[in-house]
Amino acid sequence: MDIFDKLTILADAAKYDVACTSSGAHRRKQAGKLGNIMPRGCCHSFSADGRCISLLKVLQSNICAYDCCYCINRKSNDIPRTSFTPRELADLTIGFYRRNYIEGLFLSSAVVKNPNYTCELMLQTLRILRLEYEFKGYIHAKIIPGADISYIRAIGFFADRLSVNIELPSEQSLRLLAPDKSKKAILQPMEQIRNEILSNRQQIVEYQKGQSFSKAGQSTQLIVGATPENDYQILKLASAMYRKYALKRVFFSAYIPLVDHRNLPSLDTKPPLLREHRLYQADWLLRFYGFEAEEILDEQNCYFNPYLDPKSNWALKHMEYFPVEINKAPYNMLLRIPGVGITGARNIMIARKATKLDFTDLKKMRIVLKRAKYFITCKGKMMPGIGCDTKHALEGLILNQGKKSAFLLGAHQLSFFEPTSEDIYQCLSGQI
Amino acid sequence: MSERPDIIYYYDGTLEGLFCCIYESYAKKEIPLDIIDHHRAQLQFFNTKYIHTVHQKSERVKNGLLKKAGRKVYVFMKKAFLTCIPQKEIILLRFARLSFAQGMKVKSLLSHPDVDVLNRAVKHLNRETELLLGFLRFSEYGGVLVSVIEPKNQVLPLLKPHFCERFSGEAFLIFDQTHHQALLYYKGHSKICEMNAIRLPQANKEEQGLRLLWKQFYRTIGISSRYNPTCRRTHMPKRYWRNMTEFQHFELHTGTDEHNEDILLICPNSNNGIKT
Repeated sequence: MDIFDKLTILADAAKYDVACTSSGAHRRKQAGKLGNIMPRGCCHSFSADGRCISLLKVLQSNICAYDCCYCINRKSNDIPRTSFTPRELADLTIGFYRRNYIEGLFLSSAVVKNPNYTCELMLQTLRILRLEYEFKGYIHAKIIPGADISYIRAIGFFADRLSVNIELPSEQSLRLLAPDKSKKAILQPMEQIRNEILSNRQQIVEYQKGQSFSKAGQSTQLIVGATPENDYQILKLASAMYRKYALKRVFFSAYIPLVDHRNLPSLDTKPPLLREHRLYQADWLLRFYGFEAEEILDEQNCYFNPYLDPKSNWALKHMEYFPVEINKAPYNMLLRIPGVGITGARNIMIARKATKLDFTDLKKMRIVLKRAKYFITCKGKMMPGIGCDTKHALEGLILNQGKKSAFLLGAHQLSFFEPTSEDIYQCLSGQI
Repeated sequence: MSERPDIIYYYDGTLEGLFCCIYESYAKKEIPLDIIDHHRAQLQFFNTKYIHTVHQKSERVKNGLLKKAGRKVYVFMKKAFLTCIPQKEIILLRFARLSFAQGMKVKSLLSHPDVDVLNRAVKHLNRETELLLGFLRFSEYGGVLVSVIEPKNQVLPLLKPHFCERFSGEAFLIFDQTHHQALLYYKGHSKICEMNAIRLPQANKEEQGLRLLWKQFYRTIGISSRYNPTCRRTHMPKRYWRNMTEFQHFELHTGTDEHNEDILLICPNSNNGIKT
């Protein structure tokens, strides 16, 4: 089999992995060596599904010993099987990197024979890249659950980011769909990575030198929609993992049915893209906007509102905090206004030092007044004709969305009629 | 100071030249109707005045700006000069006057019309640079990496540090087709020079093989059940596609690799004012 076919098979097998970020680390050039890393990452292309292509995302091999039913590479599936030799993969990475096609390598693998053997294969590739070719670009390596700590350590010193996929959000689901994996086997390497990173950072600070271990931290991925967990459970899990394992990112992946199995949704199920989108919105609120998981969803409302983004949804339920005076409110309150993002809030903080801001100023600063106008006052006044109450805001936010939201069209198809005010009230209380 | 809606300044198209126009504007206590690069001069109804570039004058304006408004404002003006907005020179003149009057505070006047226009232009420049860091594609011809881009703004000075750092051991050339400039780099030395056109030889086997592999990878990595062309287009506007390997069509060439060693450059050795 030539390299062209191998690349086709092994990229195809890897494409369902979501993570393709190259951010979070920084490495300056070393004269004459190939590559560096910019802290903010870089997208080199966007695939037909609109996802960023930053790294060469491939499997080392798809000859898998496990039989997880949601996975396309499981043992019992009849597909062509192949592996890259470490040399082939390293050469391909360098060839692509020199032409500025990619930011680095995303190396994952099916479990060949056993976890340790697989890690050894991956390690060989990384050794060639880092030691022989002295490649200084980004490398994201996937840890195979069940591998020895010594392998994790060795890979971590070559890679910039490590990740262990949880895949399924609860122990039960794992038992049902991935009989060869267990919650413990997944969480253990995460804990080991966290401890390694902590002690490594400490050493570097103490001795002022040393090679850094997994510079850009670790991340993980969850499949949404293959199992019956609700949004609240998933969000709580994500926020707990940010706290406990100091993860840099939790990625969500809408389940795409590839396999017909009695424990899985049927093959004609559409991937729950809206749900995935809402989870990412909520994820941003957790990481950058100072929200807690419990503020966004709770036991009673355990699914996201399909009509409204999580921030607007929160704001409508907490009208007691609004309207907010743009010229006085503290930064963290500005962040809570729907339609004001991080950049917007920062710009407001800068601009209001110079002049008192009015609605026209906000418009010039690209604040999304379409949403924000229901929640703010400028110089003590609301926008003319706008009232600050739930009814006004709700109707404005939902009915005036127009043709913009493709997701909404999907939600509309469910009902025979256009949503009425009552429908909207119900959807706010989560009763649809 | 008086508005002079009957006079137009010509300058030589460099930042130094523009600073001399600012100097002239203060010296004569007037604001001209427009400032135009003399290369693009047309027959005018109005009086015109050619402002000669004098190093001392431009230094004085530069130092004044640095002292009065700070380094950030100066760097911002330098960047704004690279953007593609119409009449950027006269807007920059007004911005410079505003900076002398208001000092550091000028950058926080976000809703002032001139500041707003320049802010947006610089944002556009920054975004284009950022996108091109990713979307720019090299091809190898006889050991030299060559890339052709068609940006709206003059991004080469901003691309320079990134690529010189990343490919520090390589020799490369980035050709800006819109502004007819090229960034050359070899062994730690880089230079931006004027260049009218570039004619590239046919790619060799290895290069063609890698292009095909990349095209195949690109095709494979998309998930068909999530097909979303709008999302792709917003992240990656179509005007970049024509210079990206994954969207280009190549004819597989079967001949020998004879004339692959030389690249033909048409490169008048003039420096166009951007110091390297």
